[in-house]
Amino acid sequence: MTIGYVVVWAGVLLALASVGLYLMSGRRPALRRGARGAFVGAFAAIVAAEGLLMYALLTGRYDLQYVYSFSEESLTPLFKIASAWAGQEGSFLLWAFWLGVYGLILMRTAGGYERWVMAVYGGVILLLMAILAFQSPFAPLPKPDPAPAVWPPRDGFGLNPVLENPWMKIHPPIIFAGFAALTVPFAYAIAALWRNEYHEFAVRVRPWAIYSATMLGFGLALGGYWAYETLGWGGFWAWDPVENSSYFPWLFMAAGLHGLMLQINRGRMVRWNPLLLALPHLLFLYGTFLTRSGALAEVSVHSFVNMETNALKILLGMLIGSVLFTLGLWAWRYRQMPLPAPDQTKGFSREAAVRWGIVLLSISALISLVGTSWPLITKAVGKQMEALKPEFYNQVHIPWIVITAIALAAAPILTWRGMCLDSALERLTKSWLAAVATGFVLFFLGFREPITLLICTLVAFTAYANLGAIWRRVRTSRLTLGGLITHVGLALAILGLILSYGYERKERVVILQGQDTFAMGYKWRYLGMTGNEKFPGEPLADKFNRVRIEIASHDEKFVVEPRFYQDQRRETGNNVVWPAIIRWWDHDLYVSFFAPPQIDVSPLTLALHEKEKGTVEGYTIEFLGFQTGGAMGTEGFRAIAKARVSHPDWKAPVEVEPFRMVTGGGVVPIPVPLPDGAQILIGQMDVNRRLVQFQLVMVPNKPETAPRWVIPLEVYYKPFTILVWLGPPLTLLGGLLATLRRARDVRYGAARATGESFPAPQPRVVKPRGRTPRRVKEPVIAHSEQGSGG
Amino acid sequence: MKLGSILTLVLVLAGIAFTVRAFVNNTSPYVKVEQLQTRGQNVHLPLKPLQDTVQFDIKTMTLTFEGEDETGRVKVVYPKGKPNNFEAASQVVAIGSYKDGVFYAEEMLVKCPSKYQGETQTANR
Repeated sequence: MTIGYVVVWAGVLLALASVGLYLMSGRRPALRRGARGAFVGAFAAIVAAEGLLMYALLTGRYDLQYVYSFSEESLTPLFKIASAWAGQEGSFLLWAFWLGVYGLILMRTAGGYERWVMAVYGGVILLLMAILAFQSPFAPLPKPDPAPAVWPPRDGFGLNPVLENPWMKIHPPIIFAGFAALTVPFAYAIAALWRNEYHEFAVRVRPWAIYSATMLGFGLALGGYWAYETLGWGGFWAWDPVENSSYFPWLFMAAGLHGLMLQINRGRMVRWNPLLLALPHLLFLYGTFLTRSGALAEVSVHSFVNMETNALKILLGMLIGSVLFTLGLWAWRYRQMPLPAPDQTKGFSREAAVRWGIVLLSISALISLVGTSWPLITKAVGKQMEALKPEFYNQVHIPWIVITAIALAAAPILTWRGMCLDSALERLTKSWLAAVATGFVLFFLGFREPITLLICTLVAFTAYANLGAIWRRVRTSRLTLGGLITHVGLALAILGLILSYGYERKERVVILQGQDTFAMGYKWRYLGMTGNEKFPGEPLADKFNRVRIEIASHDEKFVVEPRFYQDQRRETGNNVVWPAIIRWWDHDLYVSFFAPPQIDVSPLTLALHEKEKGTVEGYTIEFLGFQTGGAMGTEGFRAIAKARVSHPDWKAPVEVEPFRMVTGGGVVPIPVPLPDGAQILIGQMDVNRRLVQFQLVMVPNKPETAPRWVIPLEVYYKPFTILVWLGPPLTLLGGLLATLRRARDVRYGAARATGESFPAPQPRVVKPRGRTPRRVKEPVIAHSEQGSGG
Repeated sequence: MKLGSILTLVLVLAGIAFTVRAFVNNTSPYVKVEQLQTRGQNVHLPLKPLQDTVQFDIKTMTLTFEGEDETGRVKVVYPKGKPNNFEAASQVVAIGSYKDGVFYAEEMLVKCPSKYQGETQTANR
């Protein structure tokens, strides 16, 4: 696929040209058209590369390393397309694709900021394309030596079965839409520091900050759904490094957009905002490095392949370079930045609540950042790698969420300038009473663990306070509801996560074939496995194998079908579990496995030396000698034990050759049938001492010798997971509303900040109250004194 | 100092103390068998499993075996079934706590020899 390389390199050159022309267009404005053209060209190259990759996947070009590794013939066309982001190269390409899309919008909307923003932004695309040039998705599959008879291969190795489920089609595109959006605020922040201009900046960057936090947050939620529905450990979030490395950028972006709110409404946070808004992109680069470089391979459940050396160098250079550049530029500009407006609040103010929110978001982000990096830190100081248990994050976030819930509840009812405690409490009374009532209801429903109950009550308080604010405003100013809806959604999701985790009950249920088991108030019975249709006797080898289990209580009865599949092709992580989830409105019954289903059998055994003869239950076995088949040490190698078996009921003795065979999954005994339906196989063998232990199974009239399945289930009762599904869509809706509103503000706000004449209608302009802050020349623009933003 | 700033300071200090404590409680260092008596809670314990001591109760899915490193031997109980390739494992990392002469593993990482060099797998996440 030479054309693939050509397209990617064209992207590199066009991005380089765009950056160069934008930089030079300061002196010669005529160059701007060229710069725009080059950027559109770079975007076209990215689209072409993505299109080529999908075409290669669809048409089965298994001579390409990427296609061979992540696709196979048996996939449906949609999954073949989804394989385009199954691997590292493909996900870099997806990232580049979204960057290109946003770049086109940014180019048209950045106004006076275009030159600076697009230079920085184009630089990011340039480096990303350079990574793709070295670690290309179009690299040919290396030909093994000696070459096999069929080359190139007719079929691929295939998509990891864990990824082969519907969420694969949705989650990666959305979360990368969020990741890529982080780069826009970064570019704006650098541009603002570069120009030393912070007012127009705040107005222009605001919709992007809200948008990126919204998309990334929704992407995280989708990832949680995916984990819950398919991974089988009964939760949405596991504090895994891969999850964390998208969690802390999200938190900083959330902190940053609240910082912008304080800057635009109150003239505060002016100096910190550029740093806060640049951080998420930098941290995402860091997270990419952590999770792609193999640095954390030992402590994460996600599997990583090490990056190509040059590509890794570019990524590392990009990370270190951007961090140093950003921090240096910010430190250098710090003393030249306008001073923030003085604090004019009294008592309990919205300003203080939002400030607390920013601090709390940053704290949570910092803790997750340090926690995720901990294995690297311990390694760097020369100690044995240490991992943090996920429980750490849960414990730390308990006090955190208490304070955050209060701040979130208070923010919408407080006024910017502050009010005394009495009137603040008065406004919160209704929400608080409703929350306490909710707490009592939960208590009587049986949710009694005190700390969790307290947290649930507080989070419910947040939800009610914000719902109240929505109710008061829904008639007058619908567009200002975005932030409030977001907060309600967040409160619901957090409430669902806490209730479903804090009050979950789990139990291990081991079901024996043919026997009823009692657990969780139900009777459990194993019915069979669907994999037996395709692979008789070896059902776990079927990719779509479902284990059918009947669950019955006194008044209801249903069948659940959790999936279990052992992937023979992969050496690691080859147990693929898909739990069965039965949903009621108030709880889920979640049925998964804590170990692979296994076969239990108590065979008749007889240990014999070579040429020895012995008898067990009427069967006389004579061990004749060893033979081997296949090449030693390779798959398919067989160790055969020849034996003569006789039984009083048979006419004549039979000679059999049971063997043990080396397969991808280990050494497997292969049984041989005897005339009466029993089977003989080799239990243990010791070639040096010429000793074999023979086993007889399926012996007539001896039921304990017949193999029976043992199904080790882990069953969870998870209350109120429905809230986890309700919250994130609300947050998405609220975030998009707020994005639209702030995007509309840009026209007026930017014109105001640059001193141009206003397009009508004119927004309300509020002079800062009290004494004028030093060096702040422009008055502060208040878009809506009541708007809480988002 | 105003009452507010004192209150903030106290809150911040309490927060830091709480975080550090949670941090210390939840790090899981790698230890040797001889250290188990003194530092046996929440640890990673790399061991060579002695295959002739392996017992597996299929009715409860409990795996019991003895493992050793260069400093000693210890009995391990693991309640989550037998990990894949356990028979072929030259080294396992048992993660859990030590109590009354027995190491109770909550998780187990299995490292396999030769062909699977460098590959690790988490049993039953």
